Amino acid sequence: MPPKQTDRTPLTPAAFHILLALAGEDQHGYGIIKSVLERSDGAVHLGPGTLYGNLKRFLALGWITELEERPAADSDDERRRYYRLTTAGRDLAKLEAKRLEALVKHAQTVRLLRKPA
Amino acid sequence: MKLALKIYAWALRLYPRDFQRQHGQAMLKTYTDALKDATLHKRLPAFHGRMALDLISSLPAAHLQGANMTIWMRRLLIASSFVIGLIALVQAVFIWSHQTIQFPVIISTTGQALDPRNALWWTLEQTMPTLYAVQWVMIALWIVGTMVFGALTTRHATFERRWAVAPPFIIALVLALIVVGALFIGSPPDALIKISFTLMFALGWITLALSLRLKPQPRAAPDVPSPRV
Repeated sequence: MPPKQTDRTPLTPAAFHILLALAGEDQHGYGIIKSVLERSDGAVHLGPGTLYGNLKRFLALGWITELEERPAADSDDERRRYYRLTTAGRDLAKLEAKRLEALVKHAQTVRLLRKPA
Repeated sequence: MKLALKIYAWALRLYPRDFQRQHGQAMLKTYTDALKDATLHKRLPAFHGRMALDLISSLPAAHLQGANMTIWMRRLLIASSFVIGLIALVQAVFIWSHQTIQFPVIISTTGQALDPRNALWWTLEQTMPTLYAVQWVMIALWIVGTMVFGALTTRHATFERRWAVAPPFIIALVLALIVVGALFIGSPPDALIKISFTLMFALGWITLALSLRLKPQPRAAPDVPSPRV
């Protein structure tokens, strides 16, 4: 049965990519951009405006939180902000992933995609 | 590199104050890191293009987000985009008819053109003389409308719709830049103006159609940390 839709899903591609990047580890802004770029094989370039627009919204919605602890000063820049996914954010990312999984399964059923061996 | 940083730092001032205060420095740092990487890999033209598009699409979204609008206000904004699309359409018709209808004119006693083939041109000139006079304002309105529409689309677009709605927005922006650029340089060729406005005419309709498909997003609820899942 497909996962239940909410008024928060489907997420925009940028939003889902950001949540996916933070699901792996806590990251700062440019870390998220690089992580998304690598994960998408160079197809998704997030700009600072899109990234921080989404981060601001996620902070307000409680999907992510800003970390107070920071790395050692010699490997850090005080202008950087570090973010962590909250349980609510993780739940939402899971819901979106399940929604996409259901779509992929449907694509396999109608033979648009091969089923994994 | 320093010039690019200065320009970006200046552009950050266009974001809402609250946004600047919260994320301005982090954005500048992110931009600096990205610029260093692009310089290292010799991909500066593509980088600057992407950054310009990012600014254009994220600025209206940041202002909309800062305004904390209700669903009805968002709907009003979407309706405004709709109206601006219509204005672009009327303007396109006007410019086409004004420049292409060259049929012999029968002059009546009142000095009006009566040839039915000139009716559209005549009607527009008589009923909306200011329309032509304020075309600069209209072009600006059209560009702003497209930006707002694009920002709304970007925010609301889902995986399924994203690639259906992004190209008209990008084409529209490029056209707007061509038209404004050509008008700034001097007297652009008629063909350029006609082609641009014809495409604007088509994009006006696309804007209208897509505006109707947008789903207003519920307001953020900062006091309720967990989403409804």
